[in-house]
Amino acid sequence: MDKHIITMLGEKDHGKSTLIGSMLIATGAATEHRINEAKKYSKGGRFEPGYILDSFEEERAQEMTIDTTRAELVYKDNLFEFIDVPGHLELIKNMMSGASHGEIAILMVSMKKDEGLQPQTKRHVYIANMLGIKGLIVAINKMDMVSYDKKAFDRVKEDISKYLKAIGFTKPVSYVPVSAYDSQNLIKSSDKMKWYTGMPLIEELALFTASRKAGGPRKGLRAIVQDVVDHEGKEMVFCLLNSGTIKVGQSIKLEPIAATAKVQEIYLKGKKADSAGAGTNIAIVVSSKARAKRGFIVCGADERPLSTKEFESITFFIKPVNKGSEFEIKINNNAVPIKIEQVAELISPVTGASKPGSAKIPSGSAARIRVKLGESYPVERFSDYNELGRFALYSKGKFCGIGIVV
Amino acid sequence: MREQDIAKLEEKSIYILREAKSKFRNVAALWSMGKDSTAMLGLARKAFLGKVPFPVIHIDNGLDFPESYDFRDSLAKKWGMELIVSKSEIKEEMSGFACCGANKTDALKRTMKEYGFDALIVSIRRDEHGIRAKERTFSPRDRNFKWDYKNQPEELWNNYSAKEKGTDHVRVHPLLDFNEVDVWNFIKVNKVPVNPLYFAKDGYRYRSLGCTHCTVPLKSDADTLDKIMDELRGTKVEERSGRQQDKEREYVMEKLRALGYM
Repeated sequence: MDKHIITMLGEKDHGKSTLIGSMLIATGAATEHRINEAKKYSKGGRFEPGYILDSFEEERAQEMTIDTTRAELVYKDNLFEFIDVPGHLELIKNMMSGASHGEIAILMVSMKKDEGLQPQTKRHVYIANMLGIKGLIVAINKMDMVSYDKKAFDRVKEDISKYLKAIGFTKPVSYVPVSAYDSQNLIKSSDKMKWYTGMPLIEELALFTASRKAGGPRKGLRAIVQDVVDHEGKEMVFCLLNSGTIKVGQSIKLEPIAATAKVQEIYLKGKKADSAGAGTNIAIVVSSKARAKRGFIVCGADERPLSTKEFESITFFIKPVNKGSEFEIKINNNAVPIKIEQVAELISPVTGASKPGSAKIPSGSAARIRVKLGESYPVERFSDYNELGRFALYSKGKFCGIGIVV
Repeated sequence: MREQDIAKLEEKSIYILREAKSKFRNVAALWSMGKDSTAMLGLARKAFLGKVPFPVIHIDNGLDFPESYDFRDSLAKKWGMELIVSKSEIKEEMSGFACCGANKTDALKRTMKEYGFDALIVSIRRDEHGIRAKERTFSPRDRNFKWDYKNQPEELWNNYSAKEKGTDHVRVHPLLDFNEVDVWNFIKVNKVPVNPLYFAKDGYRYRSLGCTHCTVPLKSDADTLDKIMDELRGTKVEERSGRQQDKEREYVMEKLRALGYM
């Protein structure tokens, strides 16, 4: 059964963990043991389904999610895995770690007074868009707090839609009014919101996953070299075949050194094979005298990514940085030293507005930057090929943001 | 419980195992002779051209089932594995926590230090326990083997942590994405040898294996791989319900893991 991975997004206390907890209970995915445990730690007589997810003692004591977690449920012929993430601003690296594995996102926006569409809600959407999610379902939560009012729902929907437009979000979006705590519109259509003619949340998810296409136009052969090992006197190149196919006898190029080679042997799951397809981890023997190295890309001889020493990026910063500092990017598990050559503009992830660049980039801001690599490396535009067009940014070993090649 | 696409799961685990070998100087794996760590060794053979290219450590408190010892010795020989038996001493009064908790961690610490391992492959799964679901794929431990769970490193896409300053070793979790039924599916598809205690005898079988002092069998008639998978597809009972240590007190798994337990 194919698994669909859904990441939660949204500000703290807007109901991310509660929504997953309620869905697990409603679909029978939560064991009695877990439900009873969650009951035991619920305070003030009100059962908190979110405690099925928040299993750290500290998380229950402080009534917040500290780190990302995952839980699965089966609905009709779908296996859904939900990634819960913390909403707090200071836990954003944990949120990114979780959300980077999501295909689709559920954005929680609470209707409770003083909650609504928060700056942090917007940052989450901005980040998830850069991480490569393929679609967004906005769950407008705590509808019970506004007496299930259609007008209130429409107002928030309008605000969100304006924001998505401002940041140039182009993926499919749908909106579902819910009450996560009372399981309204999660699995079954709610009779408290008859004005809502769409589907309950889980049906929306099923529809999204059914119509989901692979991310971006796929190119030909791209295999990312992971290791080169000596095996019984042969030099084996271990790589992850990310797209395309590879055959014995085929001519390939090794990027970034542009060395040409022939594929002599292929091993798939420990056994010799004539060819291999996308998504497999292979070991190959190649004819080239030039040694492959971790981080190299194996590609077709005539259809290869651009090995470059410079590219333009949109990067989101979780720490304040100075343009002149030492940086390193991690791309395909390869670490490459870089310089930020130019900060062309600063972009607010909250409004989508941009202003002239400066040498200092504040935390929580995005920027369009010109990146200069210490050594030539093959990259693609993120919109063309997600895996070769995204990176994590480090400064002196400290994680400070994520970026995409534009 | 429904099984996932086993080919995809395998590929992900193979990638993780190769990543561990590529990134670290001196890798070892924990082997309890249970289904999960044995399946992991089967995966390692697929990742590394038919061989398990790292030593496997059995933390032995002397109280494992005779079937487990036999299984250990025969499979280690059959697959040509380098087996390290690390004896753990039981100091406190006998209970689930004492026989398989802190004392095992002490033995592990000793062995890790003696051999200088910088990465340890541990076959935990997210669906086993709420706390294990919080783990990263690569999870650093400090000198006291402490899991700093309130401040875990970032792990974006498949960019896993390396060994940083202050890290004693990194725990590598290639089976996090597997569910219990997926492990059995892998064992079945790949004909991986498995500890006989998992199969029902006289109406009982072990669903999760600790040592003889802290594990009880469950009522079951599942005496084949297919029957085990069928049983799991319909179950509402926690996998580790036959394990003492998980029940003893609140957050015991969190405390154990923070102290370096597997």
